[in-house]
Amino acid sequence: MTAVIVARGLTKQFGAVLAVDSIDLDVRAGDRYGLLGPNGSGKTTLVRMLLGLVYATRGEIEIMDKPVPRKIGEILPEIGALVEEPAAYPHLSGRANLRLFDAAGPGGRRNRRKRIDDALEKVGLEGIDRRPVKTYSLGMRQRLGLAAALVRQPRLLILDEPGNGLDPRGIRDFRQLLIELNAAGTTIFLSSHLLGEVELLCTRVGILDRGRLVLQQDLAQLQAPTGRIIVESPDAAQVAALLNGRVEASSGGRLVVRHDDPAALNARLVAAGVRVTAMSAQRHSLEEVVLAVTGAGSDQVGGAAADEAAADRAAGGAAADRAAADGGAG
Amino acid sequence: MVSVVAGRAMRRWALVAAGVALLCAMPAIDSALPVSVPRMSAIQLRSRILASASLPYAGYAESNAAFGLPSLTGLSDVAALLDGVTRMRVWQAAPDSWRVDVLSDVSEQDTYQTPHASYIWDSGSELLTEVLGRYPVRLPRPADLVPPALALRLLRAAGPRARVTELAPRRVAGLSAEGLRVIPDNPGSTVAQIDIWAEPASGLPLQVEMFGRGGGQPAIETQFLQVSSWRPDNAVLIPQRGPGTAFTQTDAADLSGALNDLGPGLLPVSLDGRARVDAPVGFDQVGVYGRGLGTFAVLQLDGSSGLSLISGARLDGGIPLKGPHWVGVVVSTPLITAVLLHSSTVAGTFVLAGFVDRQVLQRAAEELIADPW
Amino acid sequence: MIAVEQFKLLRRPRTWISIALLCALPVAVAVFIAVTHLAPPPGEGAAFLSAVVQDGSLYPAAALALVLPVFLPVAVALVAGDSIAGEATAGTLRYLLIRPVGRTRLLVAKLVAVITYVLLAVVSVTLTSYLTGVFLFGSKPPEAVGRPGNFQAGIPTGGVQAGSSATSLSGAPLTLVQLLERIAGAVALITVSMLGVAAIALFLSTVTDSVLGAAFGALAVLVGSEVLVTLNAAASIQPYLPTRYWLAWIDFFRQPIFWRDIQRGFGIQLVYVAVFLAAAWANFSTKDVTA
Repeated sequence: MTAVIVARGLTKQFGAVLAVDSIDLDVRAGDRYGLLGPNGSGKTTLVRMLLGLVYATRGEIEIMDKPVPRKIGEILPEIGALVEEPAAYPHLSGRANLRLFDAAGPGGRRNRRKRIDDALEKVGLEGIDRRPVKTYSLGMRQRLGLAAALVRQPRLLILDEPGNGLDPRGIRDFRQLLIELNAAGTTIFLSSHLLGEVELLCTRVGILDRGRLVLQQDLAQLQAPTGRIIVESPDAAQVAALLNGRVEASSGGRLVVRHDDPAALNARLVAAGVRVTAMSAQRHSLEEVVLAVTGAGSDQVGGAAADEAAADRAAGGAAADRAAADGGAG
Repeated sequence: MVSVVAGRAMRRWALVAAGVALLCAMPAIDSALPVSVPRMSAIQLRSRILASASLPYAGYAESNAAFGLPSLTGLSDVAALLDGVTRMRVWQAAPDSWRVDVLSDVSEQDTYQTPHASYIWDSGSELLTEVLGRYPVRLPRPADLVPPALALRLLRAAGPRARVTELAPRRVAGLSAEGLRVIPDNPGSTVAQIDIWAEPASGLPLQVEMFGRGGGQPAIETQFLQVSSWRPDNAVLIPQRGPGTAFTQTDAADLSGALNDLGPGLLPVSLDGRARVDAPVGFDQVGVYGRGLGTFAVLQLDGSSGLSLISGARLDGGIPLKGPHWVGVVVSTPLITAVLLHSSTVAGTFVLAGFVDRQVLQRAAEELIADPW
Repeated sequence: MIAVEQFKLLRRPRTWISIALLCALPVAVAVFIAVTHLAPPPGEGAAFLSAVVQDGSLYPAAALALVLPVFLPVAVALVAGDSIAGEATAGTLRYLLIRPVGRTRLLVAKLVAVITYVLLAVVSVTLTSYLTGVFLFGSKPPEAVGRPGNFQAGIPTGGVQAGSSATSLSGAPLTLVQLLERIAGAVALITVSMLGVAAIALFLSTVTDSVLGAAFGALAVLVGSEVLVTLNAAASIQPYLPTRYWLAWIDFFRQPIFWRDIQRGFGIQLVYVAVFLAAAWANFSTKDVTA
């Protein structure tokens, strides 16, 4: 697969603060890449560097094989982007704003009306009237910002915190839209501090922690079976006795068993007359991975799910070690 | 700050800095343009300047005077002229056909001289005044400060016996100008030197600096900032009236301003050994004594009107004088000395002023008082 | 991009409100003078104000003299100071830049928009004040109508020339065409003078993200310059101060026109525009846009 975004040793220093520290980024064509990290971890600075808004202190960026910021003028027409909050001229209508931004850049006015209508329809704003943007709700502004990014039918979408301000339905519509666009060939790079959003949408994740990219891997690999099977049974002692040496952990009626094939394990337990309430191959959640690879003080990444994650911390730890090692290799 | 565009930023700022430096250097480059003039002797230059009186010219000149005169009632116009900057537009077609506009930010005061009459336009009062007749005596006016007028007046006053030396050429109003220093030979004169720069080919004076004794800065300096030797158009030299303007006529004698309260006395034929040289018709009360740059003028004011001038001058830092029957004051500036004496015996005030030092004027004043004729 | 900036300028309510306020001051002054007949005495008050009672067609000059010292520079500094900093504050700057709009192009488009604003403002003040002046004071003084001149020695000193519509500062009459030409010249010089302010504010606008900071910075430069212009001790640098030739537009109303200060006025403003635009370009084109 060809690389769409490649960054090598990318570093940005604001005064004494190291906002982005030697990042090697690799986004491939067709990816839905999710950049995860808590607020202040350098996501926005990284996005701004990709878009030529902020200039790196050191390091190189290539987007679609062209160097940034030297050839940024040739690259940007292929990119649609949302950087932090959306912004628009408050006294103009949404449609007038899109027309204005479209007219400001290169590319001419061909099909402008249709392209704007299409973009508005995609984000669910097809019904907007002449109301000025200052009367819009936060969610509407976010949709308008997305529409602005889509007007030029870009090959690459760079979205910084795109879910902000959207209600759950809005987020789902938006996820659907991005998946459709991706299927039609658009590479998507988004940054977020919302694990769930990334987990549901992305095919590839990078995890940013205090300016460093601590992990970058396909989500499928991260979530591959760990070679362990979770067995729930009221006869936990019997299971342990039966699978002598393969049980790694046991608490209550829940056991972690080192085994590759749930079907075979199930057959064996049932044949031994052990009651099985539930059985599944163990997969790591993204959350476990993030918690494992990010340092202390980044609890907010886990957010509301932190308690649940704590229960699995012991199991997750081992898996994350492996994941981190993979990330380093990739 | 270090960044991948630091080099570019550095180059761009360097470009801007270079441009600014170039722009800042332009005035310096302009004044440093070489002055290449055919050198001539000071005597030659003087005769050339003296022969330039009827040259036509048009231009813009600024004079900067620092006479340090005390403020005298009724003389504020003169005081403004002799202290501070005067901006003048000048056109001269011939010695009796010229115009001088004194510019201020939002107004102007214009003097027209035609062969037939002279006119004064004041934009503040929107009044054009036609002055009939000639001034028998008058106070200094802006036209006197235009470089050619001042240079000619001073050169003529200094006379052929004054010592002249050459000065380094310089650039005035964009022209190469040759310089001349005149050192008067008159004992008792307060004029230390007069520096004149003139366009060597035509002799048109472009810059004049006049220094008093003991003063480092010129007491008065006037120079063209823009000049051409084209003969100005007649339309410029004739006053015209627009809508809403007023017109009046007046006799030149009435405009002699502060010279209205003249006393009846006659003045002696010489004072302090200096002969009276100038006796304007109808103005016996005004006399000019001495020659060259060592002259002074005497006039007599009637009654007690001079007393207020004396007390005013004392308040302004003049040195008080006192005698048995008279009171007086001496005002000294680097260039001009003035003595005012009020005598109860002649019931009038003598005003003596000129380019001579204080001792000369005081002796002259005492002669006037001691010997009523 | 230039067209886009023009559109933004013209569609912005603030543009028209500020211009309406600029026009309102001379109109208010004219109404007061017309109602009370209390014009300032000649030679006092704002330039030309004493003359307008007799001749309303000169009122644009008086109106320009009224708005030039404070109102116009403040309005221009705010508009120019807003140009980059305002976009940065609103967040639209980053969206313009990634659209993409080249940074240099953006600066040029902003400058052109400011020029448009200044022209709009100055021309609006001129037109409204001309209409106000002619309406309230009439365009010709009574004595100008058909009174023959009293010719003496070929000089029309006693009467006023027919066909003239206003009087220059030098006393000579101006025909309507001449008057309009000179007003146009004054408008041009004032516009260019305001561009110096605009360039300074535009440069500061690329330095700070605060609109008010940029506008007040430019105004501070102007106030400083005004102080130095009146200070004799600063005579050596006065020819290079941005406000030194601000009043030179009055020289258009002298007869003949006194070009020296006008030329210098144009020249110094172009230098300021060039220098600060170049500085704005050097700064903005390599600056991190973090807003």
